[in-house]
Amino acid sequence: MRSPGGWTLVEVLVALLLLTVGGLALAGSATHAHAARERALRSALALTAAESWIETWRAGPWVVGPTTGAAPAAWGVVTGSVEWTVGRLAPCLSEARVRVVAGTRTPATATLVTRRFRESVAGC
Amino acid sequence: MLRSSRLKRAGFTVVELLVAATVGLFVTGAAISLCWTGNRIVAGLLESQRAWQETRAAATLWTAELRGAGYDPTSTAGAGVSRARSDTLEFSADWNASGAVTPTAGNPSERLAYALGAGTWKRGVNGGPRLPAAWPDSAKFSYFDGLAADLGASPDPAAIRLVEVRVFLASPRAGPALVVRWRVARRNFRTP
Repeated sequence: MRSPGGWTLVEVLVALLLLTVGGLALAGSATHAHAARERALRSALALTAAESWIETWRAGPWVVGPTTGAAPAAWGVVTGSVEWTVGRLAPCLSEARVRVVAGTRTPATATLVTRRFRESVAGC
Repeated sequence: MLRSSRLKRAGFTVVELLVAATVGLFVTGAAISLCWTGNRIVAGLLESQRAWQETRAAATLWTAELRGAGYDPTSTAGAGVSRARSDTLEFSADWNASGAVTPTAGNPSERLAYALGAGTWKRGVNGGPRLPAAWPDSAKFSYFDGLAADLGASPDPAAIRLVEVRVFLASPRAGPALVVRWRVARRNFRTP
């Protein structure tokens, strides 16, 4: 395989190129896995916050009339926002829509919609 | 004559060997460093993922169980939240409608106790040992009424409408420091 005079410049360059490509591929896959994990984490944070908001809304008093709102949200080093809209579909039925954004660069968003019936009230 | 021909034989000089050895050393070192860094990143990802998955699984179970707290179809079992502190939460539900929160083979989880602390998230069933369910860095409970007003560190269990568990994930190798909150509204709630 090897000529008596040693390796040629082309052989050395090709070997170095292959080594470089292999190294970059390894580093790239690790970076990609890390980014994917961060995206999944932000999605989970947004979903958890949206579910918690809905739990709070369900436990709260019946609000007459539509409302909207927004608030900042933080999960340690990750920051984002919560926006909600509550509308009345019928006298005894209201609907809430909450949208949570987690992260600033490449943020993840979770949007949940739920409805709530009013009970134990005359006419409902 | 023999000495002269040996000197003229083709081969590497000492300088060439030293240069090659040095370059080889650097290349090998770089490759090992790259592999070590890759392994470290992957290990961190796995550890982070494990901590996160365990916490989510524990929170999902806790959420489902707390939603059922206070289920008392006969109104004689006294089911509900019995103890609420920042590190402890105990509650019960009469799932088999026996009129008592006594566990049976078919309903083994009528009395539940959760204990949180530094590095612990434990779950105990029917007065048994509280076994680890997750390993967050730390966690604590908070309690709220129906208006989402904080009820303090030792609230009246009957007044608790919302329970929040706040989990801190801050291990250096477990990824970014996070604070995650799960808030649950009790479904079987009677206005005190």
